[in-house]
Amino acid sequence: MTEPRCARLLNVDSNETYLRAFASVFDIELSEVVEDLAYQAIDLWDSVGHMELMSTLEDLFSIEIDIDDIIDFSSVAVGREILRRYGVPI
Amino acid sequence: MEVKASVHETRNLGVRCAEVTLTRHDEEFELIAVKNDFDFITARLPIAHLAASKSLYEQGFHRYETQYSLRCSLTPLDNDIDEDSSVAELNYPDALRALRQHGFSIKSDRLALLGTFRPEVLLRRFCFWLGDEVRKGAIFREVQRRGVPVGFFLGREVSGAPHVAFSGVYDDCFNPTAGRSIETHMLKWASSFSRAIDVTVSSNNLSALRLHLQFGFNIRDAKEIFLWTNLERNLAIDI
Repeated sequence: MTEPRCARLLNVDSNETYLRAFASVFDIELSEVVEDLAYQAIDLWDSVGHMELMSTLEDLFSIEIDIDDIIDFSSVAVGREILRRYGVPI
Repeated sequence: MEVKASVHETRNLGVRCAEVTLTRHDEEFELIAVKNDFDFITARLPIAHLAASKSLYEQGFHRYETQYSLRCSLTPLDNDIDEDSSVAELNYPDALRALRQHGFSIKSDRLALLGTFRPEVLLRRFCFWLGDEVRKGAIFREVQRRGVPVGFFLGREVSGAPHVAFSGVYDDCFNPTAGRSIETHMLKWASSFSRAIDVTVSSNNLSALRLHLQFGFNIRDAKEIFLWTNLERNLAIDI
């Protein structure tokens, strides 16, 4: 499977790119991005933050996330499963 | 004439967006510089401003709707005014889920009429826009009749006044009284803290306009909306 373009540019693996997206959008430390980090668990992961996260992940992995998956993307762990379905190797 | 970059619309649509506001005094104006800097421009002007309309047409703009500003004076409504209907407050994901499940047509939206942006992009724009309202404190209130969801209104209080960003009937609802139930609950909510409510309704949604007038709203103002874009029709635009 081809590694997404942005991940190569960042020279980090896809999983770290995935986790860094949360840290960047929600302005938290990478160490705080744990698997059970969930929607509304932190202030910035609210309705708008959620959409910003979706856009960021789409840019990073060159994918378009379906609206049903946007709705179901409730945590780091669930999001990982969703992105795998789009061929993102995380 | 006022020209400003539309930060939110740029984020929502993924292209450079601007808003132009024209007054009665703007009869001769040139928008070449704005068209060079932006991909999508929304122009608002007073109705029946023929000189400005002509100028916009000549500069490649097209009229897409009239936006009516409506106001209704409120009196406290009885709690049992509609015994068959009720309201449930949904959080953001559940609101999106409800809209997805029951369907919510945005065919009358001027961007849908424009035809430049794919439906997925317009849906994404709606999600962002709904999210913005929720972040500002709006609550998505789903109206149900005899337990069946029929539609919703999205409202918040702004400086003591009710602000309804959106309301509508779900696509899968065929109850002819759904609109009245939603309107009743919206007015009931607003009358609990205000003596008046202002809403904006598009000329592209005549049934909504008719309903509001039936409920006692009066037209206070109207604006013509023109659009311009340098993007191809149905262009695949990704955010």
